[in-house]
Amino acid sequence: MKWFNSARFVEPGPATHGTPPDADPSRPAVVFDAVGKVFGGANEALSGVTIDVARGEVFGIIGRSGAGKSTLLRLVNGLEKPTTGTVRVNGIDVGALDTRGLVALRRRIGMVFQHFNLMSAKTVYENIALPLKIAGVPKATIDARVNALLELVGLVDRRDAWPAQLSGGQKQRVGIARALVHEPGILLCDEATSALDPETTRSILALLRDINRRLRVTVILITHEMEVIRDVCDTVAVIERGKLVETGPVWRVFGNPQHDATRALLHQPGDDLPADLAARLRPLDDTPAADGRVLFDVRFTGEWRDKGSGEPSLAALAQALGAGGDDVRFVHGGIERIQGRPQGRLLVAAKLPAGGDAAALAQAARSHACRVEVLGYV
Amino acid sequence: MSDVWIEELIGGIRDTLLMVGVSAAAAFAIGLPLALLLVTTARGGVFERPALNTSLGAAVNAFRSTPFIILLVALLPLTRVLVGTTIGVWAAVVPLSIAAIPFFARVAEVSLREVDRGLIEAAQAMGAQRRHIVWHVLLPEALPGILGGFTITVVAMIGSSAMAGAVGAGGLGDLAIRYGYQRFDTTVMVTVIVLLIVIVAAVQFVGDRLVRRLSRRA
Repeated sequence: MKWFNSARFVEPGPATHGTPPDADPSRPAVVFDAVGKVFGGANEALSGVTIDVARGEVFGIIGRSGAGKSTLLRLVNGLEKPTTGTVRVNGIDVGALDTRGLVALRRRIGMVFQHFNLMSAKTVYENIALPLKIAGVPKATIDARVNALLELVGLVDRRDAWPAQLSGGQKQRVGIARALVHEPGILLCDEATSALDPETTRSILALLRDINRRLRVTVILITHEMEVIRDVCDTVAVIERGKLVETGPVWRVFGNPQHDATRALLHQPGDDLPADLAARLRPLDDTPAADGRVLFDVRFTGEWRDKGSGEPSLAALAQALGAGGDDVRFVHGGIERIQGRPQGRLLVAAKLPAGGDAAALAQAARSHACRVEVLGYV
Repeated sequence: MSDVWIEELIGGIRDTLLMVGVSAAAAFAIGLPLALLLVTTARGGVFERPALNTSLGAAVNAFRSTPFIILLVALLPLTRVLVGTTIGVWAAVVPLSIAAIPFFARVAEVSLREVDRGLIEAAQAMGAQRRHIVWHVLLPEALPGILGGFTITVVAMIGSSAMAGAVGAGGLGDLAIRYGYQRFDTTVMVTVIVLLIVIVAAVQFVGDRLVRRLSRRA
């Protein structure tokens, strides 16, 4: 953990051919401008994708398999060229670069893969050192950087092991160290946790977040798992059949998804009720049973914080929905915090006072939640 | 067995080892670059040249289809140009090499082709140029397979070298044909076969050891 604290991190290394360190902090790190990609003349993988990736953020691209997200990621380091539109990295048009330019660019962009792609005939040390060795970096520099990275990813004692002797999580740590060895400004993660178990996934995500914060590396990751986006990303883009269907801060996209593809990926039940409730639900104009309660659908979309009143108040919500009575019950749902914003959905059942109006109660509750709907009697 | 016969036997071993050794070295030195060419110029390879790849493949197949005994005779003019003679051990080295080069090239090609595309992509993503990919990825990753294939090639060459007697090259195979077969000398036949078994077993043993040492997939 030495090099990233030292001044060397911002110095152009010998491998960067004097490329200025990714300078202007206000300029986006990566810009996709109306990007389209057609394979083999007919197979349209991407069309009209426009995205800005801000410097220093963790940007998540999510979509089903085959949605085109992997192609999108490969446009950033020129492993694929766009058919239409442009991709600019630090203002440089990637598609216009010659071989030399491409090599220089790739040394400023690290890449991590789903299946790690480590060289089986090289040790952990040799794998991490390979990008520098190829670039002709002096041995002493290589040694210092690889040792610092081994420390960063916690594999100092596995330095001379072969990849085949490592666990999946350890292999990915080697992959991450190798991707960082050129001290890049951008890190691309291609389904970096999809081959790992949930616990290892969490530790790799924590490492990526740590790298993003401490080394100020812009991270672009693609995944098909919403948990990955929720846990580490600042901004998310949803890709469906080669098109960008939704993008924004993670809390907003999660709290209030606009597109069906996003809802499907979030596994959000939408307006679905648990089966037993759905079976018992009666419309409002029915006469309620003696012990019947009104079922309210209460949603928090994360916009709450913008209302400036701190966390939503459980007491105020219960007060409003129960019309002052004491029979207000949780039926279903949950609240989670995403980027510091509470959001989620609660189904609440409340006894309606004699002569009470459910719609008026819902209206009163709307100042304590983002959305309140009356579903009926249960 | 007379002393003369013992001398013949020692000479036979020497000739076989010399012929196979020199030809094997040539097969490795020329076959491996040929294999690299076949892999890297193929569609999707790092030096993609489909036309070159097709003609190279055709040439390799042509040599591999020709029976060795025919090659031995058909190559006589070339042999004369290359080694200045058409009889003896050196005259056999030329056709043996030319038969072994395409054989080994195809065997090595299979190992090179099996290198995971993901590794090549990883190398490209880290800023590797094509020569780096060949040297730092393709060759080291395929090396165990290449050496295993080379062992197979050498063993096959020991078999082919028996036919080299046709150009007066001698060797163990020639001994077995002239003494053992044509003179019905069972002792010579059995001795030569046992010697060949020992040589082949030794080559296979060394090859297997090398491959195991290089395969770090434990």
